[in-house]
Order: sequence, then structure tokens, then C-alpha cells
Amino acid sequence: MSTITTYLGRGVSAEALKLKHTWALWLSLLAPLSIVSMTFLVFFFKGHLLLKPGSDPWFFWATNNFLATSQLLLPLFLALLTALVNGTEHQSGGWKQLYTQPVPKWSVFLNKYLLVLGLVVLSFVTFWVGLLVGGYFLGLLRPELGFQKYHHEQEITLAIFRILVASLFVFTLQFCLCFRCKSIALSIGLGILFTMAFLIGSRWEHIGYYPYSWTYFASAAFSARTTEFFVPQMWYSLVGSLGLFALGLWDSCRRQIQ
Amino acid sequence: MTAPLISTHQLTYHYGSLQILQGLNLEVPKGSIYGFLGPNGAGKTTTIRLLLGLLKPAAGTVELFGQAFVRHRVPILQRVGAMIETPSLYRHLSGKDNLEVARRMLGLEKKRINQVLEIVRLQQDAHRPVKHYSLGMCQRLGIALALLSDPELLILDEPTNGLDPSGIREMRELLKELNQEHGKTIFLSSHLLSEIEKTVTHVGILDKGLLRFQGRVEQLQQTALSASTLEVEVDNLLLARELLLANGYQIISSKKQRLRVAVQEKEEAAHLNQLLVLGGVSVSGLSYAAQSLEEVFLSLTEPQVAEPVNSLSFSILPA
Repeated sequence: MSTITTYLGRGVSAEALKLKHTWALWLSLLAPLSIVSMTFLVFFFKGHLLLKPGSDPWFFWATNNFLATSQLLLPLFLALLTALVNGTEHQSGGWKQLYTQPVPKWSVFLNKYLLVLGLVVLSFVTFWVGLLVGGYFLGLLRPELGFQKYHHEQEITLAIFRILVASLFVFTLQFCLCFRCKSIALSIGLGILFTMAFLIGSRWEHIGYYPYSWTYFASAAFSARTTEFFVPQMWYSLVGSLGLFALGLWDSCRRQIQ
Repeated sequence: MTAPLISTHQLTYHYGSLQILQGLNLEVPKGSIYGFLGPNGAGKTTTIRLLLGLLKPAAGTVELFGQAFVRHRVPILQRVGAMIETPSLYRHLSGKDNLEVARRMLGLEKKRINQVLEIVRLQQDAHRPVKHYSLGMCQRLGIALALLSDPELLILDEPTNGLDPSGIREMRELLKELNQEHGKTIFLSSHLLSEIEKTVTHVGILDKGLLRFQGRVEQLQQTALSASTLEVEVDNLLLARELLLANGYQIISSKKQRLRVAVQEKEEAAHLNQLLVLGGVSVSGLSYAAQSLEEVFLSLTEPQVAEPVNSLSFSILPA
């Protein structure tokens, strides 16, 4: 076990250094903040028109942030982030270097997967902080909107956790595509295509089984004020991403570098 | 005799229906600089990828340090440093950061970075982004990456590729230094014998997936020396052939009024001329040609175009 953790510790540390001077780290911070900032500006200037007097503004504020994120921006963000990180190896011919290092082949996939997963978690934490800070700031700057009167940290934290879990399958799928596919454009293009397919087919009765809709269903649980911790799409995502992860790991061990 | 550091047995690889390597038996002795030669497309890079486990052979085995690669991949790679084709460098990072990435992955001491930078003479440019490096600097950084774990064996694929003459000379000196002062066994591929013949101790010549020659450079030089020919211009081709064959000469070719005869040394020209003249054949021209190493290499890889160019001509007066 200690050998495995040594390989992972060293590998993730090496992968982290490759982020230096790249957009990947900035993207993880700026993408969630951009959504919160835009929603903040809308509420700051037009909040009095959006909210009914005396109503709890937090649900409207959070739902606005969640819907934009889960329907469109999150799948695109995942496609872009995984492509940026894996693209560095494709562009530099780094795979042959990585696969000739005296480390087990599985660690090549796992190190990179864990690093990008770390960036995704960082992005969600940034989103969570931005959303709460943004709400309280609105309470300070626009007290008439009523943000300072209510506290929903727990519900908002749970909602963001739900979206994170529901996005794991899309993340793993996009990661595996970029890991294998040399063309960054193709993997990003597929990400856009799959997202568009969800938006077009969102009224289909079986859309809940389509992976690119799962983040939407997870965020909708917040709007519907569901008390259950897990919604079905989170289970689909967890089980699916575990299966896909195992497949990607297996494939990376038998990968030949031409 | 010590066991070879690299040995392959009947190594075979094909890409779809295209046969790339056919029953390759390589033997790279410890302490040698082994030049793996062959024209472009001969299968050199494929061989290197098979040696490092990047490709899976269709048949045959690879042994490094006397151990089967498939069973001891990680411990074997701990003793090997490699650079395959162009160096794998992260162009947005500095030279030092590129080394730091590899150092972190291998868990080596920090001081090792400065040591390898010194060996490849890149200390001054270590902090510059790799995207501003020249091709020669990239090649040297690639070698620094290969040297980082202080391996016993270096496998370098075309390390002089794209370098200008001074870059090639620098690379030769560096390789000799690594072999003689640091005790590294070096396996390097090239498609030009002239670029590496002054550096290597052993040579393997690959063509169309087959190993045409393997041995010490001196053995190849011996082959070159024994590949001398005399070209004789005569009035009676049939009679000249008969005379020469009867006296044990080997005729390589005969067309029009010219014969090419294999000889051991230049001095045989006088004896051959005398033999023909006394036999009633008029000799109107005689020229001697010795094959260079490059020509031997070409004759092994492209027999149809091998023509001696390093010739010394002189006329013989008819008797």
C-alpha cells in the first residue's frame, strides 16, 4: 500500500508542476467565479425586479447559479479542462516519456485522473465560496433584497455536492476521451455535441438516463427542495463513472505508444 | 565474457499486414556504444519502442540486464534512460522545470538536476522556457532527462537528428564522455553511418526489418577492406573472364568491355594486368576502388545502388 501511495504522491506532484503557466488552473478558478459574478451583477442592478418583496432571495439566487452551471457550463468546462491537461501530453509527445518511466503503467492514468479531479473539486469549492460570499455581499450592498435575513449554507452545500457527484460520469468520460484521443478539438467537439443533444432533447421522457442531463437533475433537486440526500442521477453517475474509470485504467495498462 | 545488456531473440513486429521487424537478434555488450543503423523506415524506432515496452512484439523476447522485460518492467526501467525520436518536452516550462517534473516522478534528490544540467552543459539556459530553445538545446535537454536517474543504459533514438555539423560534433563528444567518463552503455540509432562511425564501438545494421550486420566497428572496417575491386577494360571479354576465373579471381560483374574483379589489395593490379597481357588480352584501362564504411553500409542496405566512388585510376600501356 505504501508503494502505491508513494507512486501516487510523486506522480500527482509531477503532474501538478505541469500546470504551471497553463490555463488549466486559472480555468478552474475563473469559470465558477464568472457565473457567480454575472449573476451577482444581475441581482445587484435588477434584483428588486426579480424578487418578490419579503421573499427568501437565496433560493432564487442559488437556482439561477445552479441552472446555468449544470445545464451548459459544467459539461463544457469539463470537456475543456480534461482536454487542456491531456493535450499537454499529446502536444509534447509526453506519453512515450511517461510510459518509459520506472513506474507502473496504471499510475500514468491514475495520477492524471486524480489531478484533474482535484481541479474539478477546486472549481466546485470556488463556486460554493463564490455563491455564499456573493449572496452575503448582496445582503450588505443591497439590504432591501433581504439576503442578510436568511441562512441556507447547508442546503447550498448539499446542492453543490449533488451536482459534483452527478458530474463525475461526464468528467470521467471526457477524461478518457482526451486521454486516448490525440485531437483536442475532437474531444471538446464531442463534449459540445453531447451537451447540445441534452438541450435539444431535454423534454424527452427518458432524458433522465442521459449522462449529460444528470447535473441538471441534481441541481433541480435544490429548486424542488428535495429532502433526500441522493437523487437517482447521482447513483447513475457514481456507478457509471466507477465502471468507466476501471475501463480507462485497464485500457491505459495495455496501451501501446506508436 | 559478460552477458549482453540488451538481447532480443527472434523479435518480430508487424503493423497490420505490414511486416516491420523479422526475427531480430540483437546483442548489445556492456560498456559499448552501439550504433543501430538503417535507412529511414528500416524499423529502428519500432525496435527501440519494443525494447522499452511501448509496443508489444508479435513474437520473440526482449531481455535487458539478463531479465525478461515483460516480467521485470519497472526494475529494468530504473536502470534505463531513454530518448525516443524528438525529446518529450513541455514547451511552456523551463528546462529546469522539465527536469523537476521527471525528478518528482522518480523521487530523486534535487541536486541531481544541477548535475545533469552540468553534464549536458545547459546550466546557463536552465531557467529559460523550452519554447525558446534551439533544436540542439532540446536534444541536450532530452539527454539530461534520460540521464536524470543515473541509468546504466542509455537508449537514444537519432540523437543527432536535425542538428547542424557543430551540434553533431558536440553530441558525439557528449556521448563519448558519457561512455568513457560516466561508464554508460549507449544504444543509439541513426540513419547515417558517417554521423556516428567515429563514436560507436559496435554496429548493428538494420534494413527492411532484418539485421544485415552486427559486430564491432573493426569487423565492419575489415569488411570494407575486403570489399576492394579492380575495374579492367579489355578487348576480349570472354578470354579475359576465362583467364581470371582459371586463376582464382572472383568476377563481380562484366558488361561491354569492362570487368569488375574482387581483390584484397591495390598491389594485385600489376599481377592481374600481367596475367591478362601474357594471356593475349589487351588491357586499355585499369582502376582500383576501395569501399568506404559508408559504401559497405549502403551495399548492405541498398545493394542495387552501391557503387564505389573512392577510386584511383591509372592507365596501363598495352604490351
